Amino acid sequence: MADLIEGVNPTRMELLKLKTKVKLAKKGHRLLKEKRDALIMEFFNILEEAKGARRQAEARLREAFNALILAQASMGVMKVTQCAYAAKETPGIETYTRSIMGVRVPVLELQETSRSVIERGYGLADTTSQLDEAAARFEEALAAVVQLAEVERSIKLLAKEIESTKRRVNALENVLIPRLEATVKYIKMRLDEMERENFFKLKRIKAIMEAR
Amino acid sequence: MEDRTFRILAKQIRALNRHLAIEKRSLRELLREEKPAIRLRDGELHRFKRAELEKLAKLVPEHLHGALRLPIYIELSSDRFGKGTARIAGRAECIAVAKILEKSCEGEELFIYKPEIRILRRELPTTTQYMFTTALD
Repeated sequence: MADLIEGVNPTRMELLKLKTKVKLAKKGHRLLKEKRDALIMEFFNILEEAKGARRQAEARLREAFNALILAQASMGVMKVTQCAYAAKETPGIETYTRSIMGVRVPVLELQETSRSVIERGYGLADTTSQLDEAAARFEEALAAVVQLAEVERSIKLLAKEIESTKRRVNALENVLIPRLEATVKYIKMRLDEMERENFFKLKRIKAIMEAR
Repeated sequence: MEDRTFRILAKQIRALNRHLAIEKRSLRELLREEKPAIRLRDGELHRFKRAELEKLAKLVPEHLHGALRLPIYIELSSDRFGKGTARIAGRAECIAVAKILEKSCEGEELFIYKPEIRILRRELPTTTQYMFTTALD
């Protein structure tokens, strides 16, 4: 049997109060359980997305680094580094958040990914097509990495929220509701006992008075 | 001690729907904006993905763009609809959701189930929101 609430008076008033509390606790438990289930559903949705995003990012980065090695082989490491310094800034990322049941998850939107050879900023006279290829591959990889970052951060935030919601649901289910129900039962029992006692007292008084 | 616990619990129940919009906005209105967003009850700003709005614009007939108010609420209430069942309310909203789920939609409300909620959330992650309700008793 669950623990009783300490210092509770076995009165009808207290019983009514506790019954209201049980109702509220059960309602809260139901709602929080629904939230937990919805969060878990969201978590698995994003997890599925993450699997694909990670695979894609890894594949894109592999392609990009292979292209870079080829560019370095054809132009030399120093020349490629020089071109990298000459290149214009990478495209901007717009960041904002969206809410999943109160959890603020990031949304990262890459403004433009692929640029033309001229837009990249390095000279065309002393560079090879392998460098253009490597730059294009890295631009593609950037989009995949940004998507992966968004998805992985969302997973972490959702996991944290699931954990705290789960803890609340368990506290209600295993501690609060059983304790309240046990106290309600105890008060009911005490009130019944008091009623029986009173009934017996009256019976005794009646018997004594009749005997006189 | 118990009173404090109940104050916290009541606060948590109240906070369950704080991620909902202060005011819904129509698809027509949002499509005209460069950065479509709504203000939430918790004071935060919630941005819609443009691609999603465009997808919805294709799904719903143009004369209903003004009637489709976003975000679409996925109403969850285990004591009213049963566990794992959700309700979508509103004519235009039902048409959009029914088309995504390849279901038929007759009236002003549509009931969908857990696997369908998952598909819907995957298709429309920013333009749909969960709403938790309970029976008045």
